[in-house]
Amino acid sequence: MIWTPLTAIMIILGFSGVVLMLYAGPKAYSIIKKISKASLEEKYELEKTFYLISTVIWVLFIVRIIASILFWATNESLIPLIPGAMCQFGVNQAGAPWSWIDNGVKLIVLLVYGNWLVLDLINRRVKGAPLMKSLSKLFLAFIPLIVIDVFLDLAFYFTVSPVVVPCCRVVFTAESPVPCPYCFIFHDAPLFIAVISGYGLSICFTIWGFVVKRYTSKYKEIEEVGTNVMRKLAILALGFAILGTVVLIPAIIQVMSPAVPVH
Amino acid sequence: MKIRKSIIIIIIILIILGISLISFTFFYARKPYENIPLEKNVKILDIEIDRRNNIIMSITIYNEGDPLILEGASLVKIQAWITIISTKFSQPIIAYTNTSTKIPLGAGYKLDPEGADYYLYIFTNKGTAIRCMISYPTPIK
Repeated sequence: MIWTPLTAIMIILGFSGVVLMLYAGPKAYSIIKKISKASLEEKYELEKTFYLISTVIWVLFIVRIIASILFWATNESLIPLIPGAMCQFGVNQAGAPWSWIDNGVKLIVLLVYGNWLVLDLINRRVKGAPLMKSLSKLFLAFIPLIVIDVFLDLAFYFTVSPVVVPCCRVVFTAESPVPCPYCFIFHDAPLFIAVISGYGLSICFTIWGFVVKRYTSKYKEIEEVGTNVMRKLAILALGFAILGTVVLIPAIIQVMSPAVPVH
Repeated sequence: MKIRKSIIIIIIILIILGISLISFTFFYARKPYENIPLEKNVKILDIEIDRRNNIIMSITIYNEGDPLILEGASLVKIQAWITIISTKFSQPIIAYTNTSTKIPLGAGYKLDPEGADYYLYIFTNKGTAIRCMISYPTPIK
């Protein structure tokens, strides 16, 4: 383990994720169990319990989304501490195999957790919490991903050590068909971080919009709020797609401008 | 609903356009150096690096062939496919036969302190280039 402020934060976020999940998981399960047989009064009590756990889940998912952003910053900060590492490829080599799987998981967490958050936002705006059961089920369905997400972070940051690693220069040579993505994005063309984030968020908002559409057609109570949210998600998706495309122009200029042969 | 559909179509078009532009950039960023003929009768004698500031200060070559007129230089980072800098010399440098020539580079020829491999190209007026590989800070093990 390499102790730095950022790795310590990642560990803390990992353990807090476990605690929040262990608190919310059984409560979500009990809501699913009780809701179908509950009387009107019991339903009201379950609704109150759900609002409490949905707040806990909000904190949990926001913590995990922050962790997924901090993950890249933490790995970048570890480069000088790992001999031989020139970019995040080397850091991942030092924390293999957990680091590599974690890289993949971190790319999808916002899309998955964000889905739940958007649906809960709709649920909170409609009387009677019509999505209470669906959201509890959805949360339970996401638990394996939360466990994997948290476990990989803890396994990676507890096992990564300052060992000598071969970095990307072994894999990405002059003959490679693609450049090293870590060198390219994080070191030499950082504007592509904004491009990827823009397009990534646009894809997320579009997919969330489709999910909301599916739920809106299933639950008539949320139709009005759902349609409004869908419209807002579509506008946000368009905004981020435009942002990604606009930033792409200076990003390309940054890459291309010195590449003019002098003769 | 119709507005939402057209927004989604615009988003898809923008993302496809973005991916195409990125692919196009990669293709063209690499192309200028792919087919450039390399000088075979030139040896690299020395590369002077300011390790404190991670800058290539100069390169010394030994020309065993016909005299060459050197017009400029480029530094390409191999792992990222990116040209770090491309400059034209204020005055052409002549590398005479069987003599060593020191080519000053300096300021913009900055190397990544965390390490990477580079190709340093010195271009001649014939459209050829002298290519030298630099592994910084240590060569590949």
